[in-house]
Amino acid sequence: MAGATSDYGQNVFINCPFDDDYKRLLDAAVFAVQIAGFTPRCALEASNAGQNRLYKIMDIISSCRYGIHDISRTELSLGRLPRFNMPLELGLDLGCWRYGSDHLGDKRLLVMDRSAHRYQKFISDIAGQDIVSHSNSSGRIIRHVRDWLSTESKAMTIPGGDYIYGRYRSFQRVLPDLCKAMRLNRDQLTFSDFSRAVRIWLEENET
Amino acid sequence: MAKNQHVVPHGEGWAIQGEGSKQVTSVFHTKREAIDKAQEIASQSGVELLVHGPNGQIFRSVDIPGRLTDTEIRDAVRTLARKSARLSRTRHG
Repeated sequence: MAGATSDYGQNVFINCPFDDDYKRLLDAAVFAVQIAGFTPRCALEASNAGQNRLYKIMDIISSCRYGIHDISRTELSLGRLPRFNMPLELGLDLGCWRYGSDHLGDKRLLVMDRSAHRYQKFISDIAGQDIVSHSNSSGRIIRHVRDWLSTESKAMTIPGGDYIYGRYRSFQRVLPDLCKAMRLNRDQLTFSDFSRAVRIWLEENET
Repeated sequence: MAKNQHVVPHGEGWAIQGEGSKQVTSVFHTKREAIDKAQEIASQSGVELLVHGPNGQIFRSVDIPGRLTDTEIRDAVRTLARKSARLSRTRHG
């Protein structure tokens, strides 16, 4: 495995569902990561990677010092099959941390679920990891991500959780008009578009 | 070799600073002016523009293509800000 890329220490892998019901929670996590001064990365970057999708995801995971894993949506889907992608990517990140080359030994992982201790019923082997509950609240996700990044990175430049949540609400209020100005529906924004829209809005409005 | 261009808080205003430099190269009253100039320098030199927040943190995003360019997104953000300012002036005055 190659050595650390120059932005390894700034990259945060976000492993979560990508369905419409979860979108507002993903938006909140992305916003919190960016206002803290880090780069959000996720499997959506591998959407067009075809058969190499898994390898692409593995590459992304190994390029991120930080990993946020939401295991809150693993139930049986409409087709009566459980959703394994989130536990799979959590396992890949744990493996990368444990068996990867030397620099990956300093990886930091945050596991989120919708309620405390629920994980013990379906993935109890991860006991001992940093596991928090978000109760499907974007505010709680923002505060968990903020506090965890602040603790693990020791960065002194990260604003407080209440401030970040207020700025996130402001961004959410302008997003529909911003989409109109960009001549796209919210659903048409790719992960890259959304992430860059957050960055540029912060650049222009955090003064 | 050209250096990445940083837009950083500077006293009451904002400044442009080459990466690794201790001194700023230009000072501006507004962040927008500093971003515009730094963007121009960065584009000409083929280096990165990095804009800091008020606490000094650098705002970052994933570096992969989307449907829109950064310029199109920034134009939309500024169009919205102008509309909002116009609306605010109309309401207050």
